[in-house]
Amino acid sequence: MESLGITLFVVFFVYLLLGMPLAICLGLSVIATFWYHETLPLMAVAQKLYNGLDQFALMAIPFFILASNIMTTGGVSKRLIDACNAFVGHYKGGLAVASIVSCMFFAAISGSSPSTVVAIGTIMIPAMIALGYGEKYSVGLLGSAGSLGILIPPSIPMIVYGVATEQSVGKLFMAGVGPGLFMGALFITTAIIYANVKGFSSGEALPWKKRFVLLWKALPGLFMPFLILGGIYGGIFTPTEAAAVAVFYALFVGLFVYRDLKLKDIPKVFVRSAITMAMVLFIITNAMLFAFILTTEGIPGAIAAFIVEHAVTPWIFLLFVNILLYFVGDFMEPSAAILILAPLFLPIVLKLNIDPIHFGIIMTVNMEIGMITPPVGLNLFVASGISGLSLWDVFKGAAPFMIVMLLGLLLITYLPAISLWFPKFLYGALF
Amino acid sequence: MEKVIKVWDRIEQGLIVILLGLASYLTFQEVVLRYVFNTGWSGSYEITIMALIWCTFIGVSLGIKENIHIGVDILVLKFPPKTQRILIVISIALCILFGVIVAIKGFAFARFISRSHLLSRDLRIPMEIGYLAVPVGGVLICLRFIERLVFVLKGKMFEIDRMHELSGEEKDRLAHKSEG
Repeated sequence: MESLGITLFVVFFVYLLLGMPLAICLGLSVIATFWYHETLPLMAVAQKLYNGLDQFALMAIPFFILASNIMTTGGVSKRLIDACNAFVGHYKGGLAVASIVSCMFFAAISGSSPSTVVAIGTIMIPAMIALGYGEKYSVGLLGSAGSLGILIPPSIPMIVYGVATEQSVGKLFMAGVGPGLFMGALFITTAIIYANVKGFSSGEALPWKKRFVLLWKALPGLFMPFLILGGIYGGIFTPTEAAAVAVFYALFVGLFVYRDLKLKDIPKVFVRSAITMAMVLFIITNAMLFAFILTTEGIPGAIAAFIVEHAVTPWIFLLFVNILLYFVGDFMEPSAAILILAPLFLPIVLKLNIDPIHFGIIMTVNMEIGMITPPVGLNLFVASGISGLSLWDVFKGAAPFMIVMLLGLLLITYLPAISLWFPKFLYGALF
Repeated sequence: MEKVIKVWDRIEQGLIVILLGLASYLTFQEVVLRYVFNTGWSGSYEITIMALIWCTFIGVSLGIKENIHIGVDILVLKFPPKTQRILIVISIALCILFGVIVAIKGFAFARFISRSHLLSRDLRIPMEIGYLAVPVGGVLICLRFIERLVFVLKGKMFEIDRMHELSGEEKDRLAHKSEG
């Protein structure tokens, strides 16, 4: 058993360092292990590659990616930002707060962090720099606040976690609401303190009437999260169906309400979304193949037995998991990391009486921090791309927020109530 | 040759638009049927999943073309250009090997399914229609990496595109900004 696991991981890391695409690293290392140890016929690989995706719950991912791309093309981010700016932009540090709030709302439309950075960052970074916020700070702030995209539902990593551990995706979404708001509040507090220390100038206040006009214009976009979460909670549709409804809602808003979306743009948006979703799903199915070997070899059980034997407390276990996830999240794509690690940890989580939904949120927050940590932090790349700053400068700007996020992670880990109050409030005894 | 590749890109793009559109429509229709007409059609789930799996394996091929598949290239980039090129060629060769194995074994599996006359649960259509997506994906992955290999052997370089979530216009705007 051990030698097989060692072959698998050694081959995987060699491929990874060669710079091969992550999905192929995962798939080919499984093929190499099968071939070398003659455990299963290679035909099983082909079967698993198909069966990994043969689950309706996973199909929420393509639809959420598509809905969010349509919404961005349909000009929703611009209106969201205008509305947020109108309400808080004139306070000290208001522009930074408006950026964070816009990111939070956009995160509730999109399930991806990089696309949140792009949608809000392209508009807010230049605006903040123009008001004297400092280049590194502005870019770092947007890069970090954009990472809320995967914590505030809908969220691709949560769908993946739900599928990997057979937990309800709907409940995971609801459990993401509290930590999302909490993390957002931490960002806002940091931004206000920073602005008061530095004495940033503020913009002019708009008359109330103008503010409500801008809010009204943003309303169709703001309604989308309520449509998605309300529909899932009300049992009207499953998360996958909610995502498909979101696609048509986004098309409707873009074509008939905002009218920024032209019919001829639609095929382009579909191609772009299909390529992105194919990349994500291809990583997922290969990661499932990888996790499948680990599980059939009984590795999760062995780790669980070790943990129980050594009487590890939940407190220590969660600390260890957080440290491990922090490093894994730095160089692995979130979906792959979750698919491989969640099945490894789940038996222990259940033995130690940790709520698996809460554990899913802990994993997601860790992946969020990984998004702004080198070398693979996608948000850093995107933020550096939209600002022209070097990767290192963006990281320096994001570092204070990373410390804030680590603090938030600590609280979210040891105060399960932050994650669980909302689903408990909604589902009551059923939870 | 370039013309052939262009037509091939177009076909793949056309197919994924149709498949993704079909899947979104069917899933949406299911909600409408259930709430407005109080009926449903279980076949739509099967078609949705099959369409999206096909869409994934075709989309992967286009993703290779656009270099969006995430990998860790920090180590490779540390080497001098000559070594870099050798490492890149090795990694491309391994990717081609992956494509070949997936194609051959995927085809063998689809044939096995077809011989055992496996039908889908609701629509009663042969399951190999779905399973064939895997070997076709393998062939496409293979071809795309051969395309890239030719590209690299000709002396050109490529970079992982981590900005793929930006639309074309946004990318243009960036390019413009960095110039000015």
